[in-house]
Amino acid sequence: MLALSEAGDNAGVDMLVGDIYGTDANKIGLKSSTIASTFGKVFRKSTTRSERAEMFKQADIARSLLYAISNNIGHVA
Amino acid sequence: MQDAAARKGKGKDRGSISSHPLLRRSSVPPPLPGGLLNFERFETSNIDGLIEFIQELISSSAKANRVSEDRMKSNVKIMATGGGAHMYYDRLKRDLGVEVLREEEMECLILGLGFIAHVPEEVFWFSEELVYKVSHPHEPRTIPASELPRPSPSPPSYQVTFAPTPHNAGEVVPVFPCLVVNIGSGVSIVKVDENGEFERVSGTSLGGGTLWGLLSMLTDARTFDGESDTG
Repeated sequence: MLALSEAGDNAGVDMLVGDIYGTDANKIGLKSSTIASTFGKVFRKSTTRSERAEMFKQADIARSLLYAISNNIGHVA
Repeated sequence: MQDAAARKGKGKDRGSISSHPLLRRSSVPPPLPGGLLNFERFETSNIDGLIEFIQELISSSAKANRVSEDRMKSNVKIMATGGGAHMYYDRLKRDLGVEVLREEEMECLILGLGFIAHVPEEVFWFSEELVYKVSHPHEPRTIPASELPRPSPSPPSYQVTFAPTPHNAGEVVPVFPCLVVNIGSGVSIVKVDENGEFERVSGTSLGGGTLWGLLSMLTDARTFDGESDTG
């Protein structure tokens, strides 16, 4: 599973600050690569579960989950 | 972006809010809904729908006021905030041909905090009472003794609440300094001082977007509210 996450890019499923603010991201004092919302790109209206499963790479999902869990631990510590 | 769209403030009445005495105001010719605040939601992917909606609003207002569409447009100002305000600024300006003003989301939130606190159930604090009220909607609002959590061995020594003050008995107003937890796709936690100065002190990427994303990947539900098309 860790190997899988190594091959992934979390930007495929995570909504990054840059996805929300475009190139203006630096204005608000956050890097454009900062994760704004884990899995924020996954929800799309009127797609079925199987369509969504094909739309996103397993490796990207693994990478995103790894970041989410590790960041959360770091955050509460 | 959803927030941004909502704050553009046009569309249908939201029942509970429009019936609030502070916010109710009768207004202009049909078919315009009238009132001070109207809410309409558009998903980011449906930005075209939003633009079409505003275009229609402008032309129906022009008709209702018996002025030309260009004249109407020169008087329309769109206030936009949130990420979408930056992402779609050019499109809004070009496609609608009206003035578009971008405001910083946090500034809007803090400036509007006093106002938002007047909107019923818009500002809340986490408490056992609140959890009970939501999970037992048809029962009395107080927790029966049998359901109270056991006292913790080390209870918190202080708490932050928007407590009613003598001159506004029953109303809740922010007590400064306070921490504002803004829950969107992600979550920002902002410390706000009495003079309106604020600082983003914390936040997390685990927010609304994560819930939507995980739910849509793990279940067959197709909309967040669970309308009829929920499988």
